[in-house]
Amino acid sequence: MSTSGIDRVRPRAAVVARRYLCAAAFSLLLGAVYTCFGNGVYSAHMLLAFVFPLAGGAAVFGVLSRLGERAYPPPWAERLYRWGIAALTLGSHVHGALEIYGTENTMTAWYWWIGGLLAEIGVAIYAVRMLTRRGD
Amino acid sequence: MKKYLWGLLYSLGLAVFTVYLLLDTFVIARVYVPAPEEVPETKVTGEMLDIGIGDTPETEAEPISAMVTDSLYVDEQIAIEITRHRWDNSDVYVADILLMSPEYLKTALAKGVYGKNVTQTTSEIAEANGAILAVNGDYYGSRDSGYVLRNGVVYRAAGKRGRDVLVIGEDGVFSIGQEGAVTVKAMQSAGARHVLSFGPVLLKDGEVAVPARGLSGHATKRNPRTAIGMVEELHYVFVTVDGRTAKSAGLTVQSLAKFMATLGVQTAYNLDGGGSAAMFFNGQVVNRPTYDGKVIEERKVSDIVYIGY
Repeated sequence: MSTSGIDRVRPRAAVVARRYLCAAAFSLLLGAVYTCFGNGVYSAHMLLAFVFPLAGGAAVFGVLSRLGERAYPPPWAERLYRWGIAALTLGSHVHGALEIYGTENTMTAWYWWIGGLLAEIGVAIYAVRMLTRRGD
Repeated sequence: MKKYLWGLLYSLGLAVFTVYLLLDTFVIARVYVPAPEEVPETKVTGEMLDIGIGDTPETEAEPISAMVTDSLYVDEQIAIEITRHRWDNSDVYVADILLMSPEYLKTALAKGVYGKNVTQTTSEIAEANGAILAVNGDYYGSRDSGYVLRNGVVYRAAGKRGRDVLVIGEDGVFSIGQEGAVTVKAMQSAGARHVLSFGPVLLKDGEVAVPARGLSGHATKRNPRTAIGMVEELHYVFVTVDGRTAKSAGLTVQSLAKFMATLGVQTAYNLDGGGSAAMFFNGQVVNRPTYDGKVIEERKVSDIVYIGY
C-alpha cells in the first residue's frame, strides 16, 4: 500500500462524506419547511428523505474514508451508486410533495426503480472488484 | 471535464423527468373519454320569490314551478333546504334534500369529459348541468386509481385494494363497497349508478364508522370537508365545512362523522375536502372555499354530485 494512495483517497472520501452530510441537512430542512406549509399534513417520504444522503452517502463514505485506497470503489461504481442515492432522495421529496398536496402519480415509482437499480449496480461492481482483488 | 459530463447528463435527465412528472400531475390535460350527453328533460323556472333559476325552457317539456329563496327550493319533485350550523369551532353547511325519484341525484364531470387535469370549479360544472344544488365530488382526476362510475358509465376500473367506496344504486340507496373485493363492473351489473372513491366511510347504519387507523394526514387534521349521506330512501344530506381560517378551523373526519350522526344520517361518506370543498345552491356558492385560508375562491375540480333535472 502506497502512502500517496492513502493520502489521495482518504481526504477525498471525507470530502464526499461531508458533502453528503450537507445534502442530508438540506434535505431535512427542505422537508421540514415544506411540511410547515402543508396545512398540518405530514408525509413520511418528505420528512425522511434525508436518510438517503445521510445513511447512503455520509455514513458510507465516512466509513470509506477510514479504510485504505484498496477499499475505495472504482469510478463507475461510485458514480452509479451516487446517482442512485440522488434519484432516491429526489424521488422521496417529490412523492412527499404530492402526498402533502393530496394527489399522486404512479410515475414516482420510477425514482425508486432507477435509484435502487443504479445503487445496486454500483454496489455490485464494487463487490466484484473487491472479490477479484481478494483473489490477487 | 469528461468525468463531469456523465454526471451533468444524468442530472439533466433527472431534472427533465421531474419537471415532466409535475406537469403530468398538475398541468397536462388528457381527455380519455367524453361523457355521454345527458339532455335535461325539463328546465325549471323559479317563481314566487327572488331568484329565478335556469332560462325559459326551450324544449317543449313542461316547465316546473318552484318556490325558491336563498335557502330553500321546493317543487313537486325536489325539496332542498340549506341550513348553517356551528360545530367544533367550524361553519358547517347542510343541504337537506327530499326527492320524489332517485333520477334527480346525479353526478357530472368537468367539461363533460373524463380525463386527467380536466377541471372546472364546482359552480361552473353545476351551471353547465343545470344543477339546483351541487357539491364537489371525489376529484378522481387527482389520482391514478379509484373506481369511477358515473350516471351508469364506467370510466375507471382500477382501484386500490381495500379502499371503501360509496355506491349509489339505481334506486338511490347508498351502500358501501370495497375496491378489490368487487369489481366496478360487477357493481354496475348489480345496479350501481354512481360510485365515488375517496373516503373514509363516516357512518354505517347510523354509527360512526371512521377507521381508527390507516387514515391519511388529511383525514386526521382539521380541514374543510365535503360529505354526502342518506337519511332514508330519497332523503339525503350534502354537507360542506369551511376551514383553514381563524373563524372556521375545519373538522377532522371523526368530528364530521359525529356531526352527521346528529342529522339522523344512516350512511355517510367523505368526499374530497381541503380547497375543493364547495357547495353550490341556486346559482351561488354557499360556503367559503379556500386552500390557504387567505384567498376565498373555488378550486377547480374533476367532478360534482348534484341535484337537478
